[in-house]
Amino acid sequence: MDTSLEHTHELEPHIRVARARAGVLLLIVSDVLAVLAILAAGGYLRALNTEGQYKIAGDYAPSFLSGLLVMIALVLSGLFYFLWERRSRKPGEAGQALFFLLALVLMLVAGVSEALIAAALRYALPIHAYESVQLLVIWYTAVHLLLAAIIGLLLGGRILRSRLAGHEFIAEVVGYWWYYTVVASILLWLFGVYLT
Amino acid sequence: MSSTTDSTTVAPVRRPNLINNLFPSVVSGIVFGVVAAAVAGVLVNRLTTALSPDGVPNDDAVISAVYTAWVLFFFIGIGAFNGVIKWAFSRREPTYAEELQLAGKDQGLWRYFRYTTDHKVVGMQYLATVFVLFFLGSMGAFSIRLEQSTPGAIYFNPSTYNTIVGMHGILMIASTIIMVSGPFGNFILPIMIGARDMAFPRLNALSYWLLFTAIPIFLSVLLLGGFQTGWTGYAPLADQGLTPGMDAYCFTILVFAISTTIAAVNILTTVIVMRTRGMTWGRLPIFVWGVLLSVILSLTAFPSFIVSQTMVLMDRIFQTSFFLAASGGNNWLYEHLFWFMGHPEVYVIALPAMAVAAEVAAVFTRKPLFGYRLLVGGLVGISVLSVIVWGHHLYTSGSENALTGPFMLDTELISIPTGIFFLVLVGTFWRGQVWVTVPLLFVCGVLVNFVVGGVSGIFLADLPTDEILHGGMFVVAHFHFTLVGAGVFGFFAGIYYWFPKMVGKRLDPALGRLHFWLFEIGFVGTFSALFYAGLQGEPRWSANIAPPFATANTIASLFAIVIAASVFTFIYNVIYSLARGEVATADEWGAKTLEWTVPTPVPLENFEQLPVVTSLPYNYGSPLPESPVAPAADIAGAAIEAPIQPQGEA
Amino acid sequence: MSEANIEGNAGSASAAPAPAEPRHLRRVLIIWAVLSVVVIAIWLAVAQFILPQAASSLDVADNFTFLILTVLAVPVSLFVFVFLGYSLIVFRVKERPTEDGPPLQPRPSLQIGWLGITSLLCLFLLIWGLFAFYQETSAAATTNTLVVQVTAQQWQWTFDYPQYGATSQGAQVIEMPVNRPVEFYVTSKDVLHGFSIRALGVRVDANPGETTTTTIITPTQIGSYTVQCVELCGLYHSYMWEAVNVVSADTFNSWITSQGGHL
Repeated sequence: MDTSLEHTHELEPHIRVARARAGVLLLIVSDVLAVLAILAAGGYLRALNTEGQYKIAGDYAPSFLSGLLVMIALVLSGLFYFLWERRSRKPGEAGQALFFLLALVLMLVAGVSEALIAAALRYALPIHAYESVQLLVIWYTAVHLLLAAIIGLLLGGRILRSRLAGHEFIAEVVGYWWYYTVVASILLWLFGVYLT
Repeated sequence: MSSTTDSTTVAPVRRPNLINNLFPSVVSGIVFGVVAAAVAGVLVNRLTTALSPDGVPNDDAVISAVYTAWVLFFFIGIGAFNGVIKWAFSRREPTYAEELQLAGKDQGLWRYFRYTTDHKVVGMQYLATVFVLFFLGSMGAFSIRLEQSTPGAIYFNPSTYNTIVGMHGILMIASTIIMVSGPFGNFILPIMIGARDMAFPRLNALSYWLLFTAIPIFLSVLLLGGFQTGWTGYAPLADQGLTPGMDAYCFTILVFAISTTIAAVNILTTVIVMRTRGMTWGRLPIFVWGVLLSVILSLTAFPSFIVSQTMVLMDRIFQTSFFLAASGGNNWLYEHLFWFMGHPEVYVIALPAMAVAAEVAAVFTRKPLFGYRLLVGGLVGISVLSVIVWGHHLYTSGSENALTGPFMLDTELISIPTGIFFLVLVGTFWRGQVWVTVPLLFVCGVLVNFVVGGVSGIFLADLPTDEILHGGMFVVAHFHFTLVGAGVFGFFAGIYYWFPKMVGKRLDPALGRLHFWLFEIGFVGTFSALFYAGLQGEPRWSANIAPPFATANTIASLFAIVIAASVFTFIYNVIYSLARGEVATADEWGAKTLEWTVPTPVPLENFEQLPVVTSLPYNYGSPLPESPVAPAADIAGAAIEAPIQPQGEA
Repeated sequence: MSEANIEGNAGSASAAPAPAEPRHLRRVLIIWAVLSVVVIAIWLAVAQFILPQAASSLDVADNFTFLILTVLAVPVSLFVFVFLGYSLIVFRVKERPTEDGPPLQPRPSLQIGWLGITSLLCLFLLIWGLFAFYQETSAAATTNTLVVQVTAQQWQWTFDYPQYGATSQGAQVIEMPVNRPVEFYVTSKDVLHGFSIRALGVRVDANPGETTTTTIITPTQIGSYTVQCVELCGLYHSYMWEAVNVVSADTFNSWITSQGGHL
């Protein structure tokens, strides 16, 4: 066995898989806590209704229909990702790259739409607590979706270069983040609807 | 990794001329970042002026754009995205040679100025940065003591004084958060668990350089008129648009919190996944436990901090009303979000330092820890409880009075696992071969100061005494006795202990002893006087000391001069030892943890062959009887089954 | 006590002569006990000079709680100081040790005993604190209670006496009659402030958009005290303190009339 240092750096495969899983799951934990903080903040402000100014006449939520369409796109995106990932788990098979492409495009469209919905909100100043929470929720979602889309683009690059073989765990682990993004966004949207 | 890559197919080595040295490096990062920041600032200024109804640019938006561009383009300039792009779009995996290049192989001192992934390099970078932050924070402290030494606000105008107070606070909080986990968690911890590097070496470099980018943002607070809220950043004072310095402060926090979160994920994954064979959870050195629990806490704590600062920025930039009562916001929201982070955060600071104290105590008494599992249980108990006690910062806020009782309950409960810490350490000293080196002196400092600090916390945990002490200097003395007394003293114990391994030189022991005594005497003197002042009712954040508190404050300021002397003693010791110190041996103290089995300076991948561990590194005397794992092989210590082979031997 | 378990363990595990060991533990425990008594005695003697003047029954109670907590704190802190100091002096080796120390481990009885004692201490503190807390908060308002509305703003206090229609103007001074219960309703016009009168033992935040109340306190001594802001509220936070005068009922009545109120 060659003990020269240059060759002893290789990590065992199961370690590489384990660390990828652990890393992404921990990041998800951190993000979950941020989402919970936002939910708690919204609920708290509503319960307090300081000086009765939590929500005044004329305050409105982002368009329900557009939000619904974005959420449907997200669900479909998650579904397509799942279908793709399931197939690609078998080593050697590339999986139907079409599904991945659909998942990515849907995520990108959802992210851009969410950003547009947010930009289109013309809240009158000063923005009261209710609308402030809605703004935070919608921008948080938009950032999340765009982040997931960027990650998807990077993964897409790897797929294009046929470098997924031997690294199927990447698809699995990105999948964790993908599904989490879908679920968290839906949760935040429902919360926004509930607050209204 | 592609197994078909031949070891002889290496990427062409870059010629070491000045251009290759400078690009990519921190220099190119700064250049890119500054240029992009300027461009972004101008663009957003024009944009918001055009969009605004009265032709006034939105200063807060401009500043946020400037900082975002600075961070983003700094990382482009330092080459951080190169790896990402290659991960996605390259045609092949990186070769070993390229990975080693990224880890700083053969780059001499330049590797400290680049996006280097080697955990030892990152550890040294953190160490240097911690020194700088701590020094700046100390200057803030001495300014505060100067102003408070006589009644009336004489030396600084109110805006400057509030800014100094805030800067001292955040500099110290930030530096103590990373003080032990940054340098030692990065440099020592992977070696201690028998790994070659952290789980995510590139993220390691990322977390350090994020900290670096936060520093200019923070210093720009001074240029932007300072900030008035102190480090706690209470809204709605934070929402008041006096100066843009507040935006800079919020941004610093955001960048710092992201840096720490990434580091936390990295450390956690490393300890979970990359322990060497035989290093079970029950054989993990106590230092690793301390850092591990600390980063778990920071992972739970920082998200709400990020959310709270985002909300402040939104209030300032977009005129939302999370915290403005007139439009339905409430400052209690800020307090809850902040203290949900704020309380675990002090344990983020204290736990690694306490763990260092335990680690060092075992070595210099040549005894096993007096109850390793008991101590681990105690540290876990502290961590779990610390997440649910934040309400004790809100006893007098008027919020949720019904919860005062439950918060009193669990705050008092924390004293029980903390007591276990003292039992274990005192028991470790008891009847040991007590070799009073400088690290051990600092451990004694930790114990003495932390018991005073912890006990003084009881007064604040109980409502009857809290209502006469809250918001006063008693609180200040309490958290200084704990955070400085345990946190900073623990750091110094660690630096005197591990300096020989990290740098290869010994820190001068005589100067070290002088440093300790100056620090301890000055520290106890200063803050005991402030305990007294707080008891009399002196409020915090006072530039204008009222006459009844004058004597106590003058005494405190005099003792602070002694602290200043200790700081300069330490700096002199470090510089002198770096230049002319004695060369240290690889096994400097006769300790049994894994980092002392590798040579000094530590080679690039730490171990030639990964060690196999068979027992706790505390089996001094005779083997511990009741361990459920395989018995220790011999009395000489953590027996390593495959001893380090000389190079070339198969 | 359970600490004897240390010596039991040591006696069986190490080769040190058994009679030497009890001497150490016994010695250090005696030193600890004696020092604790001495320091507590000193504290009780000087406490009256250290604790500031208390001008209400609540503040007297709070100061007393402080006294008791310190009495408890002394043996706890001394435990660490004495054991540590003893170890550093008696067990010290001058240079790098040539042999290891005895591998002492805490027996289960020591662990349980320790946890038991610390839990009892903790329970005592908790019960004391909760009892005091419920005593405070359950004080009921009588018809005699004086109501003072406190409005904080950057950087001054305003005091209204709604029962009399008076407002403290000019020098922003609170006047209160002695031996009459007082309740403060506190709010803020802009940012968070902290309303605190140390001598009376009242302390509550002033929140914009909310009104908080203090416990009902009764000033018992005529004199002049201070109200201070204890939450950082901006530039002139440390100047935000005013005088609080506790005066006789007659002086109070004439003061009310002079401030434009009616009796």
